[in-house]
Amino acid sequence: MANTGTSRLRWPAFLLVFALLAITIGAAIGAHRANRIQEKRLLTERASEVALILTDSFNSLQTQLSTMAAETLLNGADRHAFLSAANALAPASADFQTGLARRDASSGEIRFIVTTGGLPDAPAPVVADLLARTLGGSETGVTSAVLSDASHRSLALAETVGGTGLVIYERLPLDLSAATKALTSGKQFHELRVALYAGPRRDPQLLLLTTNGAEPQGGSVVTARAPFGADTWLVAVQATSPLAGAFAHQAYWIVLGVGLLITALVGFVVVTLLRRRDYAMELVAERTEALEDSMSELERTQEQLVRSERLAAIGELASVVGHELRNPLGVITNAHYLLRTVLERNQVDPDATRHLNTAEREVGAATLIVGDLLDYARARQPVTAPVDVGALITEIESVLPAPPEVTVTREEEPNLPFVQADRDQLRQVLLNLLSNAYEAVQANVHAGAGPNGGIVTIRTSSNDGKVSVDVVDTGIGMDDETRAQVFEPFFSKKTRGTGLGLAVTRRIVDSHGGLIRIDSEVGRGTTFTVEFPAAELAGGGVVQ
Amino acid sequence: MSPSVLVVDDETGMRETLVDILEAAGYQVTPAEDGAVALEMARTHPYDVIVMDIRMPVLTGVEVLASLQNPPPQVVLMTGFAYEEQLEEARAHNAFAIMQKPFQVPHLLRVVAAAAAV
Repeated sequence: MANTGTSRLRWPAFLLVFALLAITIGAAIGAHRANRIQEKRLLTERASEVALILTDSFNSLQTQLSTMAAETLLNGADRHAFLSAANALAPASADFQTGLARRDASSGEIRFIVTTGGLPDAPAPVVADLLARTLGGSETGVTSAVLSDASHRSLALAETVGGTGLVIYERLPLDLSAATKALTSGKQFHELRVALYAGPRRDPQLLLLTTNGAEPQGGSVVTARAPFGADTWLVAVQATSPLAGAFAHQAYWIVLGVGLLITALVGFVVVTLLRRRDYAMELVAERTEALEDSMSELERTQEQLVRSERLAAIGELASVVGHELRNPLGVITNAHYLLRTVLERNQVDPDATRHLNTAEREVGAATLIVGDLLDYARARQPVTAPVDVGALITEIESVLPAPPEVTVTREEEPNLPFVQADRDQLRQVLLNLLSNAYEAVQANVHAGAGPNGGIVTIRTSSNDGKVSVDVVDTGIGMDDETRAQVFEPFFSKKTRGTGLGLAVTRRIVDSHGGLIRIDSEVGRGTTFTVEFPAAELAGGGVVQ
Repeated sequence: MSPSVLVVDDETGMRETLVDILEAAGYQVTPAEDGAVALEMARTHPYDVIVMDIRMPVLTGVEVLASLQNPPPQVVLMTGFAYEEQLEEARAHNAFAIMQKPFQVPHLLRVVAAAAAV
């Protein structure tokens, strides 16, 4: 009963725990995704900012070149004027070169017409490409390229001089300190790895600068365009630590941890409650059973009480009736005696004597019934002495002769010990058993069992300080129901009898500390066994 | 001269049958219907044997037995039922015999004969 109740609750309880687990994992994944989206958004914002800052820091170079172009135009492309302007910017060196070039009308080649810093008249192919791109470009503004040899990387810039067909070229060493400083001074860029490419692609050949050591690598790189003159540069940004903060970055772990903790707690509580419920239900079942036991015990006790009270009342009634009947029985007995003397004196019809005999026999039977009633009503404590059972049985056989239908056989153990018993009471016990056995056999014969009648065997034996007497009959036998009630007072299957014989028998056996047993089968017969303690000699032996 | 017997029983049937039986057996029998009458009669006449019921109105057989003067006659008490204390008291006052009703008449005659012979 308890288990059914619990199993009904167990699955919902486990489902609850599983649901909590699923919600926890879902929430953690959600938090992780939100964090990634947030990171990406922040990184994109940072990249735009970085692009602006870097563009800004390179703007002075554009301005410088534009200024030179404007001066050159004003001076009518005068060589000296150009040179003095170039020298004013920076002392010419291998790292800082300037030049003014134009496309030769006949050959179509672009050649420098004036240079500083040892720049050859014929430009290197990369420079020539830059100059051609500058001259051919439809848009105005500075163009750029990265020059690299074995040890140096430098930035090359070019700009047209108005509509003169001239182009100003400038090669300058990459002084990235300003840009780097701009990037590293802002606190918000500390956690960034930045690369700036002087072109629209993340091409190592175009790499101008990096912060935090290396080029951004991997999937979490965001790029932003940085317009520079007529060109488009590219900024690549990667975060070295979470931009939304360590807490936001760890949020999904926290969500997962807290969720698992809650799940575990709920699971623990659920399991505890289920166990407590189990325990409570077991306890209830146990207590219920105990209560039921007590109730049935109480009912049994009450039944016994009612029964013993009823029997006591019946006993009292039996006692009164028995005593009151003794006087009239006595008078009838006396009258019979007187009648018999009259009959004998007067020699009357012999039938009168026969009828008188009948009357006397029936008074005897009534006297026995009264005796039974009074024996039952007034329990007498046995006064015991050693009794020779064999002699007692012989005496009983003479008092109660076997009816013609019954053959009596005796099986006696030689040297049977005496029993310690109240002789009168033991006599009554054996009389009752023998008389019942005779009647059982007679009933069987009258029921048509056969003309040969039946056998009653009286068997004596001894074992371990006990003496047993079996009274075995081949009579009608008893069914289980009868056997269960046979010792009840006033229970009788016979047409005549008070139903007290076996009740008195049992009480006598009990008061001697003996035992009485029945072994019976309908149609086969009954064996009554009574067991009494053997009488002991003073020396510890057994009286035989 | 035959022995004299006083028969005391409040029940007429018992009293009358006993008188007939004992007279037929050759005793001089006088009936009394209760204990008080019996005690009065015993005072004026020295009966040899008194055959008396225990349970009677006015005086019980045991009370009569206890009140008898010297030399007391032999008393045979009869009872259908008696309390253990009454039986003990009867024995204490030397009742000759206590007979349980219903008794066999020849047995009673043997007991009365024995009492008369004392």
